[in-house]
Amino acid sequence: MIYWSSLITFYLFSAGVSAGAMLLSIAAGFIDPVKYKRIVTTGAYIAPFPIMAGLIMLIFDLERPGLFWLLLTTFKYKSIMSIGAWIITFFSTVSIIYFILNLQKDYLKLKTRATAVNAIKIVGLILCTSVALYTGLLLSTLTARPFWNTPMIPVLLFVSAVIDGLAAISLVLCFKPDEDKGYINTFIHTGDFVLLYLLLLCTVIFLIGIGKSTQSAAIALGIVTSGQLSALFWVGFVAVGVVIPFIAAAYKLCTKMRVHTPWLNFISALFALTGGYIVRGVIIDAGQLTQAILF
Amino acid sequence: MSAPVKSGKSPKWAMLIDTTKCVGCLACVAACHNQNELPVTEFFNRVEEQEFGRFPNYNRRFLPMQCQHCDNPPCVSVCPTGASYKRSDGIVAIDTQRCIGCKYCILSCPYKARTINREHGFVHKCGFCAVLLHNNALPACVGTCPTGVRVFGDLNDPNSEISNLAASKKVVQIGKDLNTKPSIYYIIG
Repeated sequence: MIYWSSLITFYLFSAGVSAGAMLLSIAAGFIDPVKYKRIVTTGAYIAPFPIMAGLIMLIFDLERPGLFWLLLTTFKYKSIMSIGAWIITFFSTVSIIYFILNLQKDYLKLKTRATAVNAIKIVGLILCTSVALYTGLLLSTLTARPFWNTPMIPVLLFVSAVIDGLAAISLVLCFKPDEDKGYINTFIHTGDFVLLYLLLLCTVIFLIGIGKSTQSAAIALGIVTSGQLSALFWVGFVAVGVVIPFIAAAYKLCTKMRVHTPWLNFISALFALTGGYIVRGVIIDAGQLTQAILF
Repeated sequence: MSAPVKSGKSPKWAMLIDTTKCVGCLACVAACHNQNELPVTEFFNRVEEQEFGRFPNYNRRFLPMQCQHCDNPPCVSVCPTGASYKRSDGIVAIDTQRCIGCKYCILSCPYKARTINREHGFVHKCGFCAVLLHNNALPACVGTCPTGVRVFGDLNDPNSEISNLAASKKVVQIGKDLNTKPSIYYIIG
């Protein structure tokens, strides 16, 4: 039976996009703030918004949305959901501060202390890593759900979150004229290539691990690879979400096509985002459709 | 049926379900519905029919299932608001005032013991008929069973029937390897 609807899928996806965009923005800023300025600012401008939309979805997935505030008056260290509620609260706050910091650098031109800015970045880095990881941990700690109860789920969703963040940045940059002499493109395509390669590895390890696990895990795997979710999984996630963007990134790196080709970046980013949404939907549904066989 | 005998210290309630005696009459399900005033679509207990073997060596059994009142309950540890909690007498209970209906506990329960109250939106489940226990009566499903499938009692009382049965070789705990430490013991036929 399905208890968590597509609202939860959307939430996991939007949290991944926000966390990934902020992670890349801060990381790019630490590597070279001048060269990768557009990655830094675009990531910072994206970060606060998807998760806000996701939070609204999350609240409306509750059976009693009016009581959502109870999450923010309680802290249960054993509950990943309680820990997560606090993480996303802090993340949302810090992502807005980070957004304003970048906005002021570009437009407001106020004076800021470098140590304070660096502190925000380091806290932000910890928080976006936590957001990207906790969504997977939320699922992987349930022993009753064999499809979720594997350490690969958080790893897979973490890598997918960074890919989604990169795709969101790449998508926005398609609408800006090229002025970076290919640095940005190289960053995006190298990132895509490495991360999609990792995601492919994670997926293969996950599938083999699930297939060689318990009987109920094998049933869950059957639903995904040859059952009711197979079309979504193979076409929506594997082909559209991983293989096609991976080939596009590899092609652009191999052919040294480092000039900005907005149409290819646009399609590739859109495909990666679609795959990121679909893989979460498949994981959420497959986990709920199957249960540990007890007797 | 007599009311559960209390030992000197606080009780630790437990149940034994002997499936070899179950005929699948569903009286326990009806009694539970009646006692907890449940709508027809919501259940705190159920009787699963399991078929095994191959014709002509074929058989089936009835397996009554409900909240196992685990000593390491996943539903309690996942609850983000503290609505699900473990009482000192071993009962896993829900403070419906604090339940936000996130359904995380439903997904965490390997026994499919929890259900949503469609009218109010909170999650609820078997509470070992705590009100009846308070009045020294047996839970509704135990008292109503015509074939004596269910034995209920206090594990802290070494002389109770449940203490003796729980220590015998023939009982099993379902889903034990998920580390839930259930308070319901089964004799599987």
